[in-house]
Amino acid sequence: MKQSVYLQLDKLHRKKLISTDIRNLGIGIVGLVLFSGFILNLGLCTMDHLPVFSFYAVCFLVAQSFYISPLIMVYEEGYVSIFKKYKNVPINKHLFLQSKFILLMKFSVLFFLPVQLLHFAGLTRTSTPLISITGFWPAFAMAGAVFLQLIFIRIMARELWR
Amino acid sequence: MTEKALEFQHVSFAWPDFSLSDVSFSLERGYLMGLVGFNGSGKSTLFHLMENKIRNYTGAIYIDGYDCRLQEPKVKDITAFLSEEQQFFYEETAEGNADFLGPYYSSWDKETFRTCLDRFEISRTHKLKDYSRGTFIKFQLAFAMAHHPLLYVMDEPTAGLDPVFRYDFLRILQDILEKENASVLFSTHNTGDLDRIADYITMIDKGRILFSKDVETLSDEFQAGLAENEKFQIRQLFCKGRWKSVTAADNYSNSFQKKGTCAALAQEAKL
Repeated sequence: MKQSVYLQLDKLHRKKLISTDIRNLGIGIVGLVLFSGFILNLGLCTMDHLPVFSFYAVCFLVAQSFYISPLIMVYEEGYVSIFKKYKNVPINKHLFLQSKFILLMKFSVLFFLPVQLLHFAGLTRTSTPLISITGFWPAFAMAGAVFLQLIFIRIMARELWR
Repeated sequence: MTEKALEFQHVSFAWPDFSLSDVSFSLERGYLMGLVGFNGSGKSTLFHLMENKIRNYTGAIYIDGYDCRLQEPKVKDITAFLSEEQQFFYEETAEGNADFLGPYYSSWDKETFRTCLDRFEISRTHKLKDYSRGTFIKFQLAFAMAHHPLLYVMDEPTAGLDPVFRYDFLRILQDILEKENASVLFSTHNTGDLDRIADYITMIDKGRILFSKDVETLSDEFQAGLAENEKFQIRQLFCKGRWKSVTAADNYSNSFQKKGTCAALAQEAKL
């Protein structure tokens, strides 16, 4: 089975899970919170203040969790690793895991792009130049959140090798 | 494709309190092998080795010629594991499980799955967590049949089931053997099940294979009288602690003729 097939099956899997709708709603709420934060910081001209970076980091982490959790966890009297369910299924473990990484990256980049644009827009109201570390806070926040998610996925995926 | 559906080659494995020593036996395609032995004798450990839950053993296990450790995806594609421990999505329906897990099998056939669900009278609307033990085993069998495995590995599938369902289950197994040319390895404590359908019987005790023989050979040996050593081992195995001396070899053949080989073994234990 090719990587593309694993990706396709993961997408289908996410759609079929009953709880997915609630999690998608969660992603929407995070988007709204981000937008509200942007409006507030734009009004106060504080887009280059350090709490904004923390705000981005938390929002990215939450949104990514909402997106990826149906693919790595399932609720059965508490959350359990989904990888447990695939132990006796004929999967290529590395491709199976990789497809989750790819989907996470894809989602993260799509979520990051509008945030980065808004951040640039907000920075024009401050004295901080766009091409600076502060200018790319959303990128750093996204990268940090992805890194933490990858570690979490790896931990959950240990079930496959047990 | 080889003629041997399953082959254990000198498999040894040791835990601090349990060990398997030099386990070797094989099962040809289209036959059913019953694995018998006491609790803690190593039956489930053999299944765990096949499932790759335990990897640090010496020797090799081949399923249809594929090495269990080296060619795991292929092995799992052609093998169906049935036991109470098997993992499924318990908060999903049977169909939901089929959608999540089925497409990963190369020979997955959803129509066969639906047919089996109807045939086994399994609810499509209930979640798996609401199934009884019997229904859960039937569901696993339906799921297994839908991906057309070459080998069914069943860890005490009939334990705790009512006689009607057990009879039904054994009839389904016979159908599988006849129509699909698949092989079945199943462990049980119920010797009556083995009498009805087993082609081979393998007996394991304390991680050691006592014998692995076809039912006819086993019957002949009982009728002719077993070698003293083998008799002793079997007596010990069945009586375990409450063994009483039995010298009349006729008891074997008489009880065999009446109740079948495995029932005779059990009968022997009660003497």
